[in-house]
Amino acid sequence: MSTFATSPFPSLLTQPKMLLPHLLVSLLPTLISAATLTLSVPPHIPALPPSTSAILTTHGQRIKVPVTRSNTFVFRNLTSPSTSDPASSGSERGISVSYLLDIACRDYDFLSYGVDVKSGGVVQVYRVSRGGIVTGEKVTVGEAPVEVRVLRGRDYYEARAGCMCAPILIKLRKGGKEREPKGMEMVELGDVTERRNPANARDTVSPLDLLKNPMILIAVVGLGFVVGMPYLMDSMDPEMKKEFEEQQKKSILSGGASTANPLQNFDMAGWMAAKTSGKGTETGNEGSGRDVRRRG
Amino acid sequence: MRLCAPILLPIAALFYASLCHAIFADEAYQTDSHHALLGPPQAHTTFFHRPSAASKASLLYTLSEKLVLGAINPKDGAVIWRQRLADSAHNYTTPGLLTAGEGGDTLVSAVDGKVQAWDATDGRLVWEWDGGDGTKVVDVTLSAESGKYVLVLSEGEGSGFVVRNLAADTGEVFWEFGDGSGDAPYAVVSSQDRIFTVSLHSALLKGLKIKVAELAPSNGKQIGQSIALNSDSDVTSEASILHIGANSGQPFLIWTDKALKTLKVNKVGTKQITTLNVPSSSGESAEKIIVHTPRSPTAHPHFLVHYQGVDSHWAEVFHVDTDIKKAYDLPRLGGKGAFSASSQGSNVYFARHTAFESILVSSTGPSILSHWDIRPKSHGGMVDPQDISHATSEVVSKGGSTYAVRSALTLPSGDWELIRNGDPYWVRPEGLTGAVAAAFVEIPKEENLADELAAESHRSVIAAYVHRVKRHARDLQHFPSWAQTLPARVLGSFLGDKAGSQDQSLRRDSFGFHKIVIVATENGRLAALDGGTQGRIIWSIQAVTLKAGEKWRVLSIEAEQNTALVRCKEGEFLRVQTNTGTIVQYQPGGLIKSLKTSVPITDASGEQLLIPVNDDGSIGELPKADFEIGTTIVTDAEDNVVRGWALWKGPKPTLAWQFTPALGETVKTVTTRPSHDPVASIGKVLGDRNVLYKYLNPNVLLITALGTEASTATFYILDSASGAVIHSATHAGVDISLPIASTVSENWFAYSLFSETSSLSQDVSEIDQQKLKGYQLVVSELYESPYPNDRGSLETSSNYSSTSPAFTDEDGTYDAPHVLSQTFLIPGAISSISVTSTLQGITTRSLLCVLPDTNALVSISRAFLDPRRPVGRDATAAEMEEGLFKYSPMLDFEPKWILTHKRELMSISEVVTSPSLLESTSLVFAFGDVDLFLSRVSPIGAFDLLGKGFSKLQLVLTVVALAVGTTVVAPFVRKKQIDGTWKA
Repeated sequence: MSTFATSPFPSLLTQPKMLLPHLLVSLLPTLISAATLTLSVPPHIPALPPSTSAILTTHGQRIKVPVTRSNTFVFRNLTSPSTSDPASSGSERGISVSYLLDIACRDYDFLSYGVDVKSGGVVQVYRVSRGGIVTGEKVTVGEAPVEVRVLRGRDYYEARAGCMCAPILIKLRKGGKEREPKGMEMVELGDVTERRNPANARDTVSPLDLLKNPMILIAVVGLGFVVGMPYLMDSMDPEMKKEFEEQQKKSILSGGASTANPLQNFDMAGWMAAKTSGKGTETGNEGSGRDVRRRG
Repeated sequence: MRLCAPILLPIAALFYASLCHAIFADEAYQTDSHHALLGPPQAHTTFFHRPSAASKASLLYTLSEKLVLGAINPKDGAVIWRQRLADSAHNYTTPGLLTAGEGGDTLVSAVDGKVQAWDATDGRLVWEWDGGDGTKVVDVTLSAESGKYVLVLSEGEGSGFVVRNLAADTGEVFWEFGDGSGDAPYAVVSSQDRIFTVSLHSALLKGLKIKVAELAPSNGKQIGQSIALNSDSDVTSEASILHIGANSGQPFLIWTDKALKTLKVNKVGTKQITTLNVPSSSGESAEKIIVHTPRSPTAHPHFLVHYQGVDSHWAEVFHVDTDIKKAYDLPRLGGKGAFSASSQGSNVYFARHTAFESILVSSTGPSILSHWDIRPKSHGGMVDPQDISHATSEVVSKGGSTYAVRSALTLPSGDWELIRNGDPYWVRPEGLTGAVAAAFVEIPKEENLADELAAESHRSVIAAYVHRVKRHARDLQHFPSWAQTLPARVLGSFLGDKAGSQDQSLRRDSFGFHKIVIVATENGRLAALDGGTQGRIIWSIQAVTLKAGEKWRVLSIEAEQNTALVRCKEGEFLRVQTNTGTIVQYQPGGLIKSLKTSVPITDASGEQLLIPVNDDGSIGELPKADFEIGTTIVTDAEDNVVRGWALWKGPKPTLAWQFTPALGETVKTVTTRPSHDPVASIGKVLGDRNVLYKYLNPNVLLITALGTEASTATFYILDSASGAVIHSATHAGVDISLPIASTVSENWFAYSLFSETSSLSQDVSEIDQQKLKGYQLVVSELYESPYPNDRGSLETSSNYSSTSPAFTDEDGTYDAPHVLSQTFLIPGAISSISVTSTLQGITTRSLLCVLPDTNALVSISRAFLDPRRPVGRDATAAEMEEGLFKYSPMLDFEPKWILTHKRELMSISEVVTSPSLLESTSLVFAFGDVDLFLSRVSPIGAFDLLGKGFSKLQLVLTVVALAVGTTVVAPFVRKKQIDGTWKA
């Protein structure tokens, strides 16, 4: 306003081109109330893809900014609304507009935040749960960037059964030599020279894999029994052998009946119809009935 | 039951695992394909540029007509990064500006009132300057002194224009200079250590005077008086100014008169104007004049003037020294040509591209340095080098007389082709941006076996036999090629060949994955993508010619036998052969003024007919055909009324019902169930084996109505036969400027919106004071009755009528279906929802949602969105058996659900699905303003397909090992048995 007072009208006519900057300077005090919010990501996060953006959403307004070269997001000119703005909540805590802050990124999921912009350019940032319910403390932010937390990295792919725990192989160049990372070494993206996911490499069939096949294992164990049983029997003392043979005879008869019955007599229709009562006893009765018939 | 329980638990566990079926790492990029496009490049914003001073190779940058800024690797045409500078919904007015300083590592773009600097290597933002609403940036120039500053010329603040000097690395404003004279700003020029502004001043009588003012680089103060050039007799609009050498060492202004007879050249900062005559030998005059200069300020101030006549083009090369003089002529050649200027050091080269050759000349003399013939119709006939719109080149002198030239040519189709030393290198189908409709169509069958067999059965025995022998002999000619590929196929299937030999031929495959996608774009193009081979373009045609600025308003594409029907507004339609792209039938629109569209209706014989629908929502003349009585046509008119028309015996359809939404609401969308929406089961089997019957009405309509004033969104479910409102739901506090998407299928519907609501509870605590806001996804299911094993009024009746629904006897209310709804809070906006479609509808459907913020397409299984999920308690065993689990209001989009995985889809607006021959799998095609994406989705896993994890070799080896084992062991066992018999 002072600019107008000191520049008299005649000078405006002689220097018409200089009017605008003065005008702009006079507008500055009103612009200052517009706040700037800078968000930063934790330092261990590598460069975010250029499609990453931070979005402030509230009823009737949506501001989207892309990620900057320094892995930050900068919202400029965040203004608090005038009293007539329907989006403002005219509570006794002053006129403010609250936004939901989301960071949309291909590689990481970020925590959700809420942002309140109050009159006078005061900006508060706080943790929110889904739906905008405040769960964290409201922190008034100044010039310094606010660090937003990463929830997790995004893993898009399902591993094939069998290569579930295969680690991603990384080769890196640090200090001139190419090598694999040691233990829990923090690896910078720039040092990685080769990154290979074994899930991508087609598994080559080795004879050892074949031996791990359950069918083969059963066959091998079976073979072992067939071959080894006579020797085992021979090495037993006669008393024990007799006892064992007796038991075996018994178990073949009784065991055979009891293991075969529940599966053979399983009432599929009954199960489908969710018949629950009296099933167990029925099965038992039937089983014993058959036993009797067989013996007879 | 004792036995069942342990069996069921693993089943439930399996079911849970199958809920989150994701893409396998080794199938990603194999089963899906993506055209990451930019849009047709613009001449003034396309150039080769080294991303940083240290980098050896340059990249190809463009700011396209779709306002997508992108960097392309010139080696393979792959996108390195891209940014959309405009919201797809937002209507942009400017074509945008893009500039880059030599040796700098940033690009500076300007769209409307926003200036942004981008990292040239990775496309991330460096800084941003926003002039706010109403500001329009007219020109952006990097200062000549090593590109330390960015000069921004903008209008829209007050009466004049403002020049701002911004730091190139931070965007900080150093000084600004305002001009309140009311002149129209045109350009800002920086040359060595001087800055000039060029503006257009309206002359007293007519025409525009070009006014040049010099500014001090240190503080932006004007130096001396501005110079007004006598251009008012020639310049009537900005279009008359042909060139202003903003980046060159010697800035000069070139303009022409209205009749394109003379060229006026002025060195910026002087009053002197040189007049040059436009050569018009052999009677043909120029229609268009384009000036080409090198972009580098260190290059010689040479320029080429390209004259384009009706049938031919020619050019002149000029040198700017103390005065402007012509160096030499380039001869007249037939057809359209494109020139491009390039510089290496101070040497300037001009490349000329015509339909049949490309030549390279130096700016110093007319001798041809290199000459290459163009192969006509490169890339399998897809690219036609006729009428190149514009070109940009990079020339590298390899010492002596050899030169390497790379040129990116923009073709009239919008396609972008790179030629290296005359050889076609790659082509990008940028003309396919702006897709407005798409559909899956079957590949036409080459030889129909059924027809052949039918022919045989109608002949005499001998004739039939001869026919069969002939057919077999004909089939035999495929044998050698089949036998040749056989070893590779067998080996491939055993060793799990990753790439799989991709069949380039258009033949149906046994899984039904191989289909054609027909895409129509807003610039009048039709293209077919091959679903089997990574979305290869089979054909691409200019289906209709449109006036400049006009958009092709396609409503839908429908698959027919061997053809596709493209329906447009105002009754325009065309039929195109799906495998060749030949237009079989075309009817232009606008024949009947009031005609809005035409809808296809199937008559009694199963033939499709087009019914005209007028602007006011009434139905026009009906074609003579046998319609099934009672067919209802629903029309959505401009007057915010949805009407239902019934076809009765008479020639005219009768208005059956009208639907008007509540006061203050406007109808946004009318959605019907998809045409292919099979229902596998009419009921839902509960855990206790009772059945909840689904409300399955084929005539269900979902109408979305928005209340602009009250910020409400209402969703109406209508019976289109009777017009009765079956169900409605209103949401308050809805932001209707954010996307609202909805879909309806089977016995359920779903929609998503952003709402901000105050808590309804009375006590004012901290939480209640705060408005609850966020994106919601609402899913509702319709059942015939709330009780299991009960079909409501339907149970006793043998037939049912929509128009006279059964009334419950007590209170006489309409027997409405029972609706179960559940809301989920989702992390982001959904701009479009569609449903997977499988052959039989047995597979649990998935919602395919477009996430515009993360540029992804997510597939959410309906199992997660079941409204019957128990709330506030854990699921009982019976509910778990059904696949229900505890309701949680939060629904996260798991990364594993994302169909696009690491691919990023830009500006996708719609998704179409089609069933494959496998019940587990649905084909998906997503399209929109920029990108095209083709994939397939198995909502509960590919249960009917052997995955790549299945090793056939291991299976064979196991069988062999078992056989060997059995043979080895058999003598032992036999010996033991015999021994045992003897012992007993």
